[in-house]
Amino acid sequence: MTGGVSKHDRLFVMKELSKTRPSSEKGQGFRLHVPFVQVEAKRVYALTGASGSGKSTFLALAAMALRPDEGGEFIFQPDANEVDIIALWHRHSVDQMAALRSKYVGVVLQQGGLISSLTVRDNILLPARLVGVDRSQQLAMLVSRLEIPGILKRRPAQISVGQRQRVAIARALINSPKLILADEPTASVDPLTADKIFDLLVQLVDETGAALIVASHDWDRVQRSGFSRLHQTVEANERGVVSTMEVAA
Amino acid sequence: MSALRHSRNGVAWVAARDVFNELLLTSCTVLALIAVLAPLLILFSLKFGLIDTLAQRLIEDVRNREIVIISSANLTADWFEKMRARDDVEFAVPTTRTIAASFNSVQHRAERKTVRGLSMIPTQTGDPLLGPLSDLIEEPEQVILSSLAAERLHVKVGQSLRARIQRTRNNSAEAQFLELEVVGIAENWAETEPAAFVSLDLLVATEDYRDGLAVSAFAWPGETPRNLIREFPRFRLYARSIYDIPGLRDHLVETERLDVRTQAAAIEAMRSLDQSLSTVFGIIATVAIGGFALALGSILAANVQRKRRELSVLRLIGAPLRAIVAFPVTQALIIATAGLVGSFIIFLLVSRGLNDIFDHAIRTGETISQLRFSHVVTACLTTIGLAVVSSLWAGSAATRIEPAEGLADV
Repeated sequence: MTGGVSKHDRLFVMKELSKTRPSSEKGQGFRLHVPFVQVEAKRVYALTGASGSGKSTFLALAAMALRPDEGGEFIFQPDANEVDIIALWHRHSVDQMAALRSKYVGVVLQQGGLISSLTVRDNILLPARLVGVDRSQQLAMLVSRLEIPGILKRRPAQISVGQRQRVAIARALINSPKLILADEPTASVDPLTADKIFDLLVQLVDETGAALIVASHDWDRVQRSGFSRLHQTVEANERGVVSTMEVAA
Repeated sequence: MSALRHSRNGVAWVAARDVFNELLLTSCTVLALIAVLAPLLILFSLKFGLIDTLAQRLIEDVRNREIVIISSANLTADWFEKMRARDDVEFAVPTTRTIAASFNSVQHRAERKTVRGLSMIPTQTGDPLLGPLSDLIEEPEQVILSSLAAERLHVKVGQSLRARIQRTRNNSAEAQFLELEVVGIAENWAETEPAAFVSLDLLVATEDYRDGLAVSAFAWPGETPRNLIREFPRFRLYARSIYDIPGLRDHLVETERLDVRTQAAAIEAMRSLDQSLSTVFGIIATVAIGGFALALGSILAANVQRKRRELSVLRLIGAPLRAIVAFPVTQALIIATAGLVGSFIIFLLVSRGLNDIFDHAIRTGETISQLRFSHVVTACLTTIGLAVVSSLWAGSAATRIEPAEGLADV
């Protein structure tokens, strides 16, 4: 996970990366600081900070969905080639980053983040549709593993919260991504369902050989699942909250 | 297919599903479009139908192309040749003095019917008032009767009539009788008085006879005609189209110094009405369509705001910025198409109703309310074009949605 790892196993590395939100009338300022984080292929990581500690901000940075502050380094290496994400932000190559996301990154959102007008089946296949590939075999496998075959024709509003999370996992995995980012995937479900969903997510990620970063406030569950921890320290100063995220010792 | 096209199609597909999923909201927007577009189509079709009908009547009615001479002139055969050679003249034939241009009486002996004082109208091949009938007169004794004259004489084509031409010479009345052959009946000629279309030769012979001259062609006695160049006081003159009238009138008045009367004023009035209506329609259409474009734009922008989270999710799972614009554009296209279809259905129903209601006031082939194919195409292209333009406002808002918004608490 940290130093000593060959470049070939490295999925991305962030060095001295930060994201600042200035203080506003609504709240105090916030700065996420990432001195060094390296994420390797086929590993699972947990972000277990408290609410407001910048977990989602870190995931957004990792998803190339949020522009970091000036300075720092962010190299994404989904295959033999390294991609300098900071340079892409400088060039405002947002569509190139969107292409990287659709090909290599799957995202599981807190409430599922499903499209309300699409059926479950269409929601799961949406990332494949956006890149124009046929993923019906992958769909069949995921539906079977996630035990959601009976709800494929339903809309998100017609299924339970737990089922929505399973659908969100299926959607995140449909394009067989190299990196899966999950933001509080079990926050909205009861503990029993949460355990099941968590186990399924970890199993599927393990089978696909992807790397997984999960933001969760539930350290016990994460620990039971054998995650590595991305350590956060949160300090408050006169300018607001500073959250530092590093690889745990 | 390029990666961008795949993702654009994907986003467009989601937008379409969204439109159909929110059927109530979509229906309201489509109805709003129909409420603007259908009355505009009807208004335009009425404007076009009425004006076109009037214009067509003006163009088609040959009488509107006639230039009538008011005063008496001295026009030679050369003058008529010159006039016939002009591009703006369709037909020109001399006419004698009015007083000489009639039969004293015409009798259909078999039916014992007589018409007194039957007007003689000179005609020749190419007479626009008679159309193909004008070719039928080959001999001076052959005539074409107006339908009113034929009716009063109970005569049919091929039957004979006996005409009486009378003159007073040396204080005594003299008359000649002429056997006329009816070669045609001018059915469609709206007339107030019965008339007979005759060859110029017969008309000239009648005038000569009444002037006391001998007419050798019919063996009518009288004084020997002097060998002067004949001059005609009047003419029957038709412009090639109503649009040639102003120029031809100016030529006759300014160059030939003749007093003439035309339908130019009526034609000008129609053109002016058309222009005024076009202006009024243009203002109404601009205000209505402009208002609708704004309304549609704001509805689409509001929808983008409502779907902000879903659009950010679309971006988060890999839809490029340029493809996101397809969301409101697709919705605009669907709404515009549905609005157009609805508007044309309503237009067709109302238009048919209007044409039925005003059926008594129009002639065969005419319509009060009508649109040409080019109007339909223009309406479609304008509506779809405006819908796309107004959706770009929402599109621009959509591109400002960040993918990170899909993640909570960012």
